[in-house]
Amino acid sequence: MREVAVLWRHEMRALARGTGARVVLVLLAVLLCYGTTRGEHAAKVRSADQQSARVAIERIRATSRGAYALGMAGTVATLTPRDAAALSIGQADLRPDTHVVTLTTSTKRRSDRYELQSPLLLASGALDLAFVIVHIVPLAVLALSLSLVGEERDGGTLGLMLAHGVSVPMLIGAKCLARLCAIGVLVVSVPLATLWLLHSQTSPASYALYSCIALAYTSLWLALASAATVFLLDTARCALALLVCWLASTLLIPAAVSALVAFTFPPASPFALVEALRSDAVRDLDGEKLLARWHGEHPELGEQHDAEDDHAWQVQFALVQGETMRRARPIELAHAEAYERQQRLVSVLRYLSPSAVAHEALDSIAGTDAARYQRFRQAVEAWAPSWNAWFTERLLIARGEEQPDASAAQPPRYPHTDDVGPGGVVLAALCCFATWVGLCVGVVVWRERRATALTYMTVTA
Amino acid sequence: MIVRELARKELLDVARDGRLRTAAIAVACLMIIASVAGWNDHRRYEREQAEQQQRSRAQWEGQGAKNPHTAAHFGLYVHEPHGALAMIDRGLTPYVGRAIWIEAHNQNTPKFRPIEDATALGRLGVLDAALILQVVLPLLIVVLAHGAFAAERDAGTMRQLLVTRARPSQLVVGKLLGLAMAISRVAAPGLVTIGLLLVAAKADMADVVPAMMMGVSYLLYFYIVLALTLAVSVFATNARTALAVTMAGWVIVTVIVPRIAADVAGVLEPTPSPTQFWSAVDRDLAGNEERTQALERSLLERYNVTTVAELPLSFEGAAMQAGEEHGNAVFDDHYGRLYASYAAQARDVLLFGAASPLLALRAVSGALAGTDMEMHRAFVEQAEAYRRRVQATLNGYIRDHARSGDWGLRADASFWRELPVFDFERPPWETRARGLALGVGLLAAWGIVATLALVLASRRVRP
Repeated sequence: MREVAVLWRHEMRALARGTGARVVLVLLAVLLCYGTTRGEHAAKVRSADQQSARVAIERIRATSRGAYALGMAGTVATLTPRDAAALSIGQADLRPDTHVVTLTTSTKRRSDRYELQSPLLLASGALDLAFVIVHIVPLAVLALSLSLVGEERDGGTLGLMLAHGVSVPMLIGAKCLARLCAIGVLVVSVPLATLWLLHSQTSPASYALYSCIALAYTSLWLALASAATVFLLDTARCALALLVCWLASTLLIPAAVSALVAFTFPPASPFALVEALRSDAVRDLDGEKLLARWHGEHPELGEQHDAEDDHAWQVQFALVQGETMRRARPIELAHAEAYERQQRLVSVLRYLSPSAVAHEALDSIAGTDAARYQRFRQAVEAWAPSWNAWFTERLLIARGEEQPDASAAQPPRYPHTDDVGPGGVVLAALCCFATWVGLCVGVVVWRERRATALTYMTVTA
Repeated sequence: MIVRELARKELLDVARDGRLRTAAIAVACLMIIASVAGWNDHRRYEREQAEQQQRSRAQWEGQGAKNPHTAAHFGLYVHEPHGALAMIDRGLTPYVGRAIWIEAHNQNTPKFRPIEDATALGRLGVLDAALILQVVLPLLIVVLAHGAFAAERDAGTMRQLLVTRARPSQLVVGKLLGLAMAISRVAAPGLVTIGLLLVAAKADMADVVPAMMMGVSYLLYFYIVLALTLAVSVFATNARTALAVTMAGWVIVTVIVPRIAADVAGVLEPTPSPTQFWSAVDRDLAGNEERTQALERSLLERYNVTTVAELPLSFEGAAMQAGEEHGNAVFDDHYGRLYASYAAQARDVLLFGAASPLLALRAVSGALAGTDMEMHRAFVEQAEAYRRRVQATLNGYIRDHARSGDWGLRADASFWRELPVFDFERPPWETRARGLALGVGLLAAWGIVATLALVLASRRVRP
């Protein structure tokens, strides 16, 4: 251990003195700072936008009188941003975190007008902290670990060290530890300082989870670099192999898995719901018949509505919308099930790409993961009929001009529940990284047992 | 003659190197897989779009007798078709809505972006031929070409080459041609697959010229990467440095600059949030009551009557059309600004093409494949023009066939059938090509820079 400590100290000094290493670390620090600022800014904009949506609806509600007008004004169901939203923009730029629920069906909800984000920016993705951790940190590791052994060999110091009882795994371990310290200090401290300066709401617990993922992911790439070093020896080949691993992990495997999933379980047609809502059966829904049926089921309420007045039309409208929602529900559930099928396959195959795992974990900590948005959307779809039912009931018991002021009684509020925390995803990610690191360490040890000192001293071009 | 020999020697070197052979086979396989994946996705998309377009029309025609304004609210969906070249480069298609709901009073945004139905992994990358051609193949070029001069120098064979009758410029051209042949062999299976799939996707003659232009753009891009890699190989002190520099360049060009460009464009040209956008639209649409009263006064004066009931037309029909026309101006203003911000973002990103030829290539490739923002905008504009035509026809029917205050008017299936079918006319490639000037210019500039680098390098070839 003493040798490792000495080697580690030497490596730290070498990293601090090396111009190349300094440039890489400074660039990384700048990007970490920028990514955090970008994420914090995006989180604040989202919060402000949610607030604006609430204010806009409140303004409409304030000028609305009667159950029908209030029901049509609607209510805002929002997905509350997590405290660590600054860490990753994730799916937040794509999926709506605000749904306006009214008496009408989902095809008429305002959230369908959410699709204004710039397609170009969506396609490119944001330069946030998650991107820096997932894409740039491995490149920094690669740049700093090009010559874990090669540098010593070319400088003639490898032989000396081996002669003094320092094994190659020990040397690589110390070098990796030094690099982990250098990069780790940056990935933990720079975002922390930036968040502090920006007065972010990120809690220590969330930041601790982020730090665990960032450090574990950095360790994984260092472990890969070690395994590549002992096998390929030559610096150039080692760098190339790592770059190919990086390309596969960050781009090719996710894209291939995505294509495979779409091929195996094609996504449900988004038009199925539209189709159902525009079908003859729904189109021919007769409000008068629905109203008559309701009066038949509730004879105790006595007096029939006058089919000619506005109020009767409003009741019929609300009843037709409620019935349409009821008929659309199975299709919404089928759509969700199709997505779940895809997601189940993805949740297995994603382990092929540590980058995808890291990204998902960071999104999950930030509360911007696809699963959370999907749960939110499903929860809103499941809850929307109760809003319709509440106002329809008030309309049905009302009589013409005597509509009760629905605002006097409290209409239902969207029961925000965010019961699934990031713990499970983070734990799975850490296990995945630990397995990869274990495999790489195993490879290094196995190679050491089969190798002689000459193995590391000789490199064939 | 000597150039041919040198090229053959370079090709032989690549073919003999087992690792390079493996890499080449892997890239070729990736290209085939990506092409098939792109084709499969394109086929499913187009089939779904065509079916839905027909169903929507059938629903419209089969909606039975009803008031035209009720029909206007029932509306219909129009769908954006894509050309066959979209299977090569899907561009922005996963990120834009596939269909627009045509209804009264509202210009709706395109709905159903394919990316929304994709899993979270979909955001990390879309597998298509363009991904392999734009990102992976350049990496292979870097791997194949970085040692062309530097490795010869490291091995001491450069000195032998220089004592032959070959001039340095011939050496450079020979190596360039040899490597180009090696790369074309790697790309050939993928390109043949793409060709076959284009035939299977029923690409028509209108796609031939854009496809050829795409081919030329990609060739130019590969030439730029190859020439710059060779230049680095000449100047680098050894093969390791050459590889480090070219790989760093590849990372900067394909990963870092595109992301920074998009981020900067987003900051410089922010897109309004949905709440901001729709609040502003709603604000400008407000005041309908005053406008209706003004219209009433003007009609009463024009027809010299005292009540709307005496008008020889349906006041409601005229008022709704006036409302549509006011709304059209409001939508033109707000959507115009929205799409102008998209266009400004695209321009800003393209300007970063000065730092990365990939951005210039993407702009050119997307435009030629018809998967860029301009093509989508053309669809949105045509759909909106169609919506306005439909609303004018429906409101005109009410105005001419009903009396004021009479909502009992009914139109039947024969009237619904009279409405023209929406048929998206893709702007011809000549029109699209005009918007490519900056992208093509940047690619050409990169080509000149790469050639100059190569010329300069040929003067610095040393043992």
